[in-house]
Amino acid sequence: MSEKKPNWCDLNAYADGELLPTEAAGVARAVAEDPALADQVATLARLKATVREQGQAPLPSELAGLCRTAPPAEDRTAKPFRRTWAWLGATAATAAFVVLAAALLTPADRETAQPAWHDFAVQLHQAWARAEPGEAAEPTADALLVSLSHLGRAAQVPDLSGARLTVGYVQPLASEHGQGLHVGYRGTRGCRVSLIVLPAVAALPQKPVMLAGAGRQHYVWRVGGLGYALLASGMDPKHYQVVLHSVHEASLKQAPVGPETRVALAESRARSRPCAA
Amino acid sequence: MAGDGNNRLEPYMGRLFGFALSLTGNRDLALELVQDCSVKALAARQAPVDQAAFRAWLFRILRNAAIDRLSNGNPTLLCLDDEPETADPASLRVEESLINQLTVRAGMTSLSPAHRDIIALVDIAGFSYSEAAALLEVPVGTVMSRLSRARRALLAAISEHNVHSLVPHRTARRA
Repeated sequence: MSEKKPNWCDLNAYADGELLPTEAAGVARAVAEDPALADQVATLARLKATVREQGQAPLPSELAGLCRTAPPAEDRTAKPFRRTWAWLGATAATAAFVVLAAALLTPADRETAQPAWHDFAVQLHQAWARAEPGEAAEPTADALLVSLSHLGRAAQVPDLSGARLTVGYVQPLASEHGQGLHVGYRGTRGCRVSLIVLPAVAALPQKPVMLAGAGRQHYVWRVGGLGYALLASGMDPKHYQVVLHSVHEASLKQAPVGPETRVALAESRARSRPCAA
Repeated sequence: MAGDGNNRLEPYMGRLFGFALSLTGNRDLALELVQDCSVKALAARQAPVDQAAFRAWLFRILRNAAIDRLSNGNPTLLCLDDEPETADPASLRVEESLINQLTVRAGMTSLSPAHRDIIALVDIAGFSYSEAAALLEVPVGTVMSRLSRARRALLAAISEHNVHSLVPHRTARRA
């Protein structure tokens, strides 16, 4: 190394601290004697530091909650039997979530009275599903404030970012069916989901029921005086079940989506196929 | 989990995101990749016990997911042919003052995925040459040559993005 002039590859390894001590000493001597080599090493050091800084971008909030339901490290490593139980527990929790979602969608109540606004809701969703990015109005107000001002009460608009569904559209509704709210969620794999909140009809049950003749991914339910409709098109059916369960649960509890639900949404999304057009 | 120190995944989330961002140049896609990687890691029956192996395992999961997503079925996307260096790096002079966050970000996006990959593994994920070699399943010498060519390409890209400087620069600092 010290006998010959270091090449570019050597200088990179030198800047990375990857040379053996004797090799590094040889490069150091050559650099000290050659300003051009010194410039190259300085350039490499600056380049490396700048790239490293690029990699230290702030962690998006969407990722911060993902780890919160993971088993403790010692459970997963040091004690095999506890790791097994931890894994079984996590798997059981996820399975329970999916079973609950599936049970939620049993067709027993399918014949229950539909809200008068179901055609209206379907039309709203179809318009959102067809809208090009930028064509539909972007959210101009916080969904909670919109619901308070137009519904007179707070509708639950859950955070579905665990499933990479973000609110892309919030529209107050004023129609023959009363005041309401249309929230459009946009996914990153072609998914469009509508959550529509309008006054409930008395016969609408708390358990979600499929909108008559509207398709398998159009469900409605009631919480208090509000009727909720969750509509999607072309979404993986199992994934839709999990999303529906999450939204339904949030609306019943009037509480934000919790960490377990976020993980369930993320796992469900990871297993699902992208939305069909 | 944020404060109890027991979670093994959380300390790596930032670097995983930075790595994914460097590979893809797309925040949304990087977010998806880290999310998918986290879900797989949390659902895994057996994670490596050794901390270094655990870190390599995480980044391998993410990298494989990125290959799947970026290559659209082409598994050779991140492969380089490892040809020997031909151009003289000394002929490529880039003012240090031109190397900053903006120019490096622009330069990285113009690199090939394979070049972004090796730079991100070493400079962002922080792998040593031997760790990167094990992860890529290539000899250490291959990592050295790939990295030196990738950095040369990055400097060339930065140079191209900075044909006109706003202030005069000294060209021979050590004259």
